[in-house]
Parts: sequence; C-alpha cells; structure tokens
Amino acid sequence: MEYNIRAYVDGLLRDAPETQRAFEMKEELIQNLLDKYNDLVESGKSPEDAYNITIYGIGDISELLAEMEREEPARGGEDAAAFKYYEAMYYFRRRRAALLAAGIAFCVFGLVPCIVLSVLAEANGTDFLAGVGVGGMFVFWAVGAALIVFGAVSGPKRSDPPEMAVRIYLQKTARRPAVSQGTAASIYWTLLVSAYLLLSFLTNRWDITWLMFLAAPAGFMLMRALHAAAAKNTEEEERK
Amino acid sequence: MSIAADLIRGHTDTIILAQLMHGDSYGYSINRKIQEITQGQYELKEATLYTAFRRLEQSGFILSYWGDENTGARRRYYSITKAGRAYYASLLDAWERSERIIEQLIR
Repeated sequence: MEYNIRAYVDGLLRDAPETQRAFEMKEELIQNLLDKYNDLVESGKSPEDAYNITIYGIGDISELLAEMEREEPARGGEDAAAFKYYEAMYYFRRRRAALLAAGIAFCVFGLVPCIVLSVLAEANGTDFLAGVGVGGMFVFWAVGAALIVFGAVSGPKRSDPPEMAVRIYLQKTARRPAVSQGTAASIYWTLLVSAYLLLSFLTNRWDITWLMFLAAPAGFMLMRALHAAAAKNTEEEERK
Repeated sequence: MSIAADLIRGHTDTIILAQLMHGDSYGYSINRKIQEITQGQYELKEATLYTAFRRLEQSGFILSYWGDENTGARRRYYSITKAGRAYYASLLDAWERSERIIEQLIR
C-alpha cells in the first residue's frame, strides 16, 4: 500500500514545478499520508478502506499546486544561464564522442582497402595496387588521427569559465553549413560513380566492382537520415 | 457538515497557528490533534493543510525543519515565529470581535 500511496501522490503532483522545494513537499505529503494510513489500519480498518479514506482526505490539490507555482520564481536570469551552460556542455560532450568514434572508425576501416587491394595485387601480380592499398591505409589513419586530436583539443577546456563555453557553443551552432538534401545527394552519387570507375580501371575487375551499387543505397539512406537529424537539430536551436 | 466546513475554512491559519502555539509539530500530528479536539467532527484536507503551511512560511509566520527521527520516517516539523505569535493574537482578536457581532446580528 505504501507503493500505491506514493504512486497516487506522484500522479497528483505530476505538474508541480521541478524544484527541490517541490520534491520535499511531495516527500512530506507522502510521509504524512503513510502515517495516517498506518494509524487507520492500526485502528482496525481494512487496508482497502484505510487507503480510500487516506486518498479521499487529500482533497483538492489545485490550490496547493497554485501556491507552489506562485512561489517558484519564473525561469530566468541565473537559471537560464545555467541551463544554457548545461546545454553547451552536452553539445560538446556529444561532439567529442562523435569525433572520437569517427576517428576510430577511420582507423579500422582504413585496413579494408589495404587488404582488398593486396589480394587483388596478388591475383594480378602488380605491386602497384598493394602500394596504393598501403598508402590509402595511411591516409585513412591520418584522417582518423586528425579527427581524434581535433575532437580532444577543440571545444572549451575544463578550466574555461562557463560563459566561455556557452560563447563557443553559440558560435559553433550559429554557422552550421546549410547543405540541401539535393546537393548532398548529387555529391554522393558523383563520388560513388567516380570511385567505381577509378577502382574498376585500376583493378580491371569489372565483374566485382559493380557490387558497389548494391551497397550504395544503404549508404545513401544513412546519409539522408543523418542529414535530416542535423536539419531538425538546427531547426530546434532556431526555435529557442 | 459541508456548510460548517465552509465556515471553518476561513480560520485554517488560526487553527494551525493555535496548534503550533503548543509546540513544534508536523502535518499529520496537527491534523490528528484537530480530530481529537473536535472528536472526529472536523479534519483538514491535506491539500488545505499544506497550502496553509507554505503560505504561512512564505509570510514568515512559521519555520520548517526536517526532524531526525530514529524510526527512519523523516518528518518536516513546523515552528511558530515571533511574527507568527503576533499574527495569531490578531487573528484571535478578530475572531472574538466578529463572533460577538455575528451573535448580536443573528439572534
């Protein structure tokens, strides 16, 4: 029954302001209702009756909610600044994580062309392809390392004052390059065809390289989804 | 009973302050005392009681603090302030005067 009373009060105060004061108010109310309930059970009431009497005794909660709402100062000033700071820190944390993940992905996937090309080189008997593969791997690794380092050093430092972090955050989010869906799509397909032709001419394995086009739509979908998410983020920022 | 409850509701602050004049107490204890005194005829709704607590505390008539009970149940206690005592005296005075006037008017 303790759980039921708790759940009932949680429901009642669903719309209460989310402050320490309001939380304490709820705890106080629950504790006192439990006292009442236990007294009623001790006096011989059945648990169901005791629960109903206790809940009925709470009365009209709206005046209490109004009083709580009236007491809490409107979100502004310091609160708003603190909120912006948390938002900025959240943004930078996500950004760092994304860059780190991308960097690691580059390092790992850098091995793929190297392996594929060395297999092809063996089949074709050309050292040239193996050289391209190893060179490509180093390029991938360089990009990956750059992403990881950039992620670690860009953005506010721990020692920066909160205002600094917020300012950098506002700068970063303000000038987000606006690439339209259409532009992104044409860049994607052009790059894909170029890669197909380049790889095919280099390797002469036209019988395999066409498979790229089977995998391509998945990549395209992924890009579209990322693009849409980014656009939605920007929209939300602007609405604020 | 509902008409009487309406008449009494206007005196919620006085009733709570009167209980706190006897010493610090917490919500349920005050309500139980009210029930005892009135032999079960009157009892404050929790919503009314806690709204009054907050209003009185905001006005500086009462103070609250968390008690440290050994039983595990932590309760918020209320204590009447000096301003609260003065306010209680003025409320009592107002009640006594209006009681006389109403007596005169309705009999």
